[in-house]
Amino acid sequence: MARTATDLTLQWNPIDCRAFGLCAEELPEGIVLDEWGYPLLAAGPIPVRLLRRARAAAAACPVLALKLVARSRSAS
Amino acid sequence: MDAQVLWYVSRATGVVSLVLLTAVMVLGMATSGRAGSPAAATSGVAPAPAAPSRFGPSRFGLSRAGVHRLHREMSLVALVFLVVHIASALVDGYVGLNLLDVFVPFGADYSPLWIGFGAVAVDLLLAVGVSSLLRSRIPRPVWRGIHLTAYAMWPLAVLHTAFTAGGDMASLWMQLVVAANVVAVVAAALRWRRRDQHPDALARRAGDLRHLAGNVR
Ligand code: HEM
Ligand code: SF4
Repeated sequence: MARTATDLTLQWNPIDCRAFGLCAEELPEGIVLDEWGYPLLAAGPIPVRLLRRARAAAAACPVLALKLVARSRSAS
Repeated sequence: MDAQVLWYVSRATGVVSLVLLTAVMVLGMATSGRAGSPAAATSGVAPAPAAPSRFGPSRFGLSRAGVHRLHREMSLVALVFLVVHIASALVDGYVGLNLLDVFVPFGADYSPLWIGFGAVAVDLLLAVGVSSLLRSRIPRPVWRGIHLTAYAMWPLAVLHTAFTAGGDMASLWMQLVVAANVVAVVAAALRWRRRDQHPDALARRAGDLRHLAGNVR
């Protein structure tokens, strides 16, 4: 069976995040903004089909508050 | 081959570089801060109500993320044109510049002042570009400090374009191009001064000021 999930996940740093909201535009399937513009991330590993978009979301963050990390390295 | 081809290439790619840099500046200013963020208040006003739409309004027919991407990608295209502009001027040899003149200002035999401005602009542009490529390894305030030197780089590039002897500034079309570039950046800068700010950013700044005032007392 084809692998559908990567072992990567998005790690969000709420201290650095300045609510630019660009990440949610790059990856609307996995990130919604709360009423103040801060992102709420979907839990779990990034599906293979969304990997490129997740990379773009991390690259779009002007303050690098969003990182793509291996699941084992992320807290929780 | 016509011996003047390289000289024409250099002039043409020089103009294209300026136009692209102008576009990069305008796009950068358009994404700066929380411009268009659904949760942003406009300069100093009370917090906006909860986001009515999921994403902010688009600019230039693009999403904010699209503007931001274009900013990053177009800067690379501008660099390519700039490399051709400089390389063809050097190889052409007509004005007798050497590699040092590209990076070290005011030493050129030809039009030293204005070529020098070009050299400073090149140095700043390299700093902005390289620091951006290494962005994930550089502390954010350092990156941003370097990035803001773009505001010094661009006027220098304009002066270099307009006043380097032997350019095309004598012709009307060139004057119009340069004028249009200046108008675009000035308009974007005026718009930038009134950019949207997140209520939290305003609160943070007010907090910093209070903190500073406390230290002074
Ligand atoms: C070398 C050509 C470049 C020039 C001339 C340039 C210029 C600018 C300018 C004028 C701004 C607005 C700054 C402000 O007032 O807040 C800006 C913002 C920005 N640029 Fe660039 N830029 C360049 C390349 C890049 C690259 C390669 C990246 C890739 C990471 C990048 C990422 C950003 C980001 C994230 C912002 C928003 C900063 C913020 O709002 O804090 N830029 N740029
Ligand atoms: S792009 Fe970065 S700063 Fe903006 S909301 Fe997403 S994580 Fe926060």
